[in-house]
Amino acid sequence: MYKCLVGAFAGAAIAALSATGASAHGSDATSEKHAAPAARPHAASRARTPLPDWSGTWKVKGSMALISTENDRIFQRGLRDKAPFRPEWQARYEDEAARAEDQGNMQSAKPLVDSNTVYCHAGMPRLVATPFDYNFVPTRDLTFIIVGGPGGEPRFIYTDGRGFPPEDEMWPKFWGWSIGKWEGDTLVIETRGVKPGLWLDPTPMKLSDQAIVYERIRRVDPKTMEDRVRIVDPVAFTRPWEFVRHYEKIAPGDWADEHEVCGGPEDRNPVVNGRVTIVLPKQPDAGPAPAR
Amino acid sequence: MKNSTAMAVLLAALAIGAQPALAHHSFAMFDQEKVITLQGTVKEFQWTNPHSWIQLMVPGDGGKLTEWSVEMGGPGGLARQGWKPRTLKQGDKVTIVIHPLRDGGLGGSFVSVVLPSGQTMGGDQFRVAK
Repeated sequence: MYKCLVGAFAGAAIAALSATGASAHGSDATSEKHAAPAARPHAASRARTPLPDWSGTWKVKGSMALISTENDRIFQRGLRDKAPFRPEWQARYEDEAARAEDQGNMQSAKPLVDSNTVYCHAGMPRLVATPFDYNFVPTRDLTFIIVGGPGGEPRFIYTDGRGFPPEDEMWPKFWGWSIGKWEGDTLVIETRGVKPGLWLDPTPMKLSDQAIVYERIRRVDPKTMEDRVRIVDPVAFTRPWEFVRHYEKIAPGDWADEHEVCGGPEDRNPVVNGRVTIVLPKQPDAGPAPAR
Repeated sequence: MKNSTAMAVLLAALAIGAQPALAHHSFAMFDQEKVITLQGTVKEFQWTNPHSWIQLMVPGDGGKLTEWSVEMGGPGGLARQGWKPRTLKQGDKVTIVIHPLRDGGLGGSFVSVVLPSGQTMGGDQFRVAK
């Protein structure tokens, strides 16, 4: 049933966007067959088109923590944009966002800890905007988007002409299943099968297991990469959610930024009893430090 | 410290609009609406993954010392902002602005610091390509 819903939803959305010219994504051949993620070879896109030069290391412009906006000043709940949730998803979001504000509060009865803390990985589509390094590495059959340098979260986008596996062979993954094709110097990506329940950014926006993430990535000038994102989720959203993020090239010569490694003895913010804690030292001339 | 009031105002101004960079954990435990200024002596600069920390000994009433823990980003990100493992050394006398813990604990998230040299460091800047 969801398959049909997804297909109808995406089709209607694409038709509407095309009619208004509002889509920033142009024609998206992958989405036309939204309901049938079977093998859809993109052999034509594998013609000998030169791969673009995306060399260098890049950083998200503007807000490093919000998936959908570059505005650093729109951070707080209620002051920022968010996914176009259906009413029941919106209600859940509001409830969980309030609980999330207590994730470091030992006195809170029902705190909710960020999935990025629990798993120490962001997953998709949160990786669209993080404070970490970005390296875009196109090769003929497989493009890597390495987020976070060594130890980070590399995305694998297959451009070898494959389609998605049959649905019963696709299990939810933190980074989903991504295939892509080249339209000139633009990499068009479709990602399905993202593990539901992951936070999209530091607020607990979540996707259903029916979400599909479409992206168009290109280098718009020598110093700027662009990712135009459209997330279709007929279960959670009333309409596709679209936004654009940019990345600026950092000066050459820096060493790669090592990714954060959680859970070791140097990690002073362990998750204890469902709460993010902070390990503080015993004070001089004081008794045992209180548990936090 | 001479001009400490002016310094605190300056550092507080730097803090306005500052946002916590996403880390592997939420910074909700810190009150992003508040800034406080600490003047003290560095006990230890923990240049560690996942996050770096400044342990600062701060004299309180009657000269009693308290140890504050100031949480920063990871070493890689700090390096991009010009930090080095020995930017702070044990014994350095510094002024640090933090967003304090909501629960009143002696800790906070880093906003900025005035080094013994007078140099101010803070923010989330990195060098962009020319």
